[in-house]
Amino acid sequence: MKTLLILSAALFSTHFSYANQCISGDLKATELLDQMKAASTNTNSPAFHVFQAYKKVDKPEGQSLATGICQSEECKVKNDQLNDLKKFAAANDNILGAPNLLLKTDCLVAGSKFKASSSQISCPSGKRSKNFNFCINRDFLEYQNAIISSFMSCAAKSGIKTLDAAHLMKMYTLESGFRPNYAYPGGVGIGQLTSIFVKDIHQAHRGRKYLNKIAASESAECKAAKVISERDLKKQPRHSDNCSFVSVGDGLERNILYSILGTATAWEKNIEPKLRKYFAKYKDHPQLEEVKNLALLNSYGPTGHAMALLERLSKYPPDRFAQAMKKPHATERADLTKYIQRIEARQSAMAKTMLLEPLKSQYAKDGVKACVN
Amino acid sequence: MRKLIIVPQVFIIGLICSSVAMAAAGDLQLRKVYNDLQASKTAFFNSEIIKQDFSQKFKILDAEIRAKYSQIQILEGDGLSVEGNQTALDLELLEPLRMLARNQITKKSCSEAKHQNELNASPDEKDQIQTIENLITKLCQ
Repeated sequence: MKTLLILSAALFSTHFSYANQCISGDLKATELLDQMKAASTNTNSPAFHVFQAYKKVDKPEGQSLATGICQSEECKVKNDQLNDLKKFAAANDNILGAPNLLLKTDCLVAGSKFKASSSQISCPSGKRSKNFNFCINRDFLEYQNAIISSFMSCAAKSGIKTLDAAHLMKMYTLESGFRPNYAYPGGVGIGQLTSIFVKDIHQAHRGRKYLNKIAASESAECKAAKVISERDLKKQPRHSDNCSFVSVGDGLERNILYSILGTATAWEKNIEPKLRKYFAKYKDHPQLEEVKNLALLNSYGPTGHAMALLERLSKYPPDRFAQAMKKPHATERADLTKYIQRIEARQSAMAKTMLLEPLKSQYAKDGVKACVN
Repeated sequence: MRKLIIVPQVFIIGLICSSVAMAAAGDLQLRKVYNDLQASKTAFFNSEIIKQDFSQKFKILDAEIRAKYSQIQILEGDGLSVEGNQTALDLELLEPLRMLARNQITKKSCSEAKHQNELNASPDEKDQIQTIENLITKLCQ
């Protein structure tokens, strides 16, 4: 009966507009939403496992049917059935309940309101434009939240040290504002991945072990990440094929997984060896985790700059280290903390102008931790 | 009475001037150490380096830069200077060459050194990255 209802929902849902209004973009430009919908039922897509784990297969279909606008005579006739579906969706929520997402979707909504000055990629063509019109709605942001939640729990289960969820959110807010179809000249997608970053994950002496680890994982938390890892170990995706890091159902998910594994690689190969003695010395310091996360965040840029900064600040205890990470430290030609400063400036703007109450007050009090469930 | 007021003022101004003079002298000394290490680095890259003597020559340069960085750190005290920041960055940018100097020059070590140099790449250090890449290419032929 349940399967029948889901199938009916999928069949009829083409007659309805999406449940949520666009937070950004045009309601007619539903490319990303369409891709998400198709991927959610494709068992070969990591999206299928994310939707399964976060109970999104049933809910959005039921919701869109229940709250959508009827556009054809045929569907108007089926109002009774729709009401049944509405009841089903509500009951399903009550009985099953979705596991908690790592982040508060309201923070993603706020983060997605910044304008970009890059280009938009359409998939599968890979064509770039300056339209910036793809609709991003709350469902889509929740889906991105679910991918992050899924891959972060996989990383934790696999003993992979990476950025925490709050700092990952900070990073994506700056890099793309949760608009995974954006591209700059060098970087693409939600994490604005560069070709060297992708290459690093596939190097035997660098990040490949993480792909192997996830591909070999039997843990339920890694089901979605495993699909990507297995596929990519067989055939390494080319960065020049931008859609491999952008399209919903494959690219967006890969982009998030790679952001996580890339920073994990930087942790294991660069940060931890560099600061091993420092971490041991201050192991009980309350600010040490913040230092670790800022070090990981800064490692998202050029390695030399990131490591030089750690070298410089390691003479300070963690509280001073963390403060100094957010201030300028000029070299002859650059600034070692430029990236962190940009992240902090974006967060500050988001907290002041984009967040709504009561989250705004919580953020003012607790910082980005207010965005974590 | 007037003298009593003037004397402490003169004393304070003198104290400030001497502190400023000392700080300036410290800055000059720090700059000299920095310029010396930059000169050594430039001389290294301008010298004729062949596969056979690379490791030895590089290790001498590396040790010299590290020693001068330690001097800079002492002169910096609790603060952070542009010269210190740049030297720390230079030391990190030399890591690909350090990898080659530590190990035998093989296809694998060459590939890893090149990869490390790519990871270090940034627009503001384009010239230095290119110089290091050129040397890796030459050594790995």
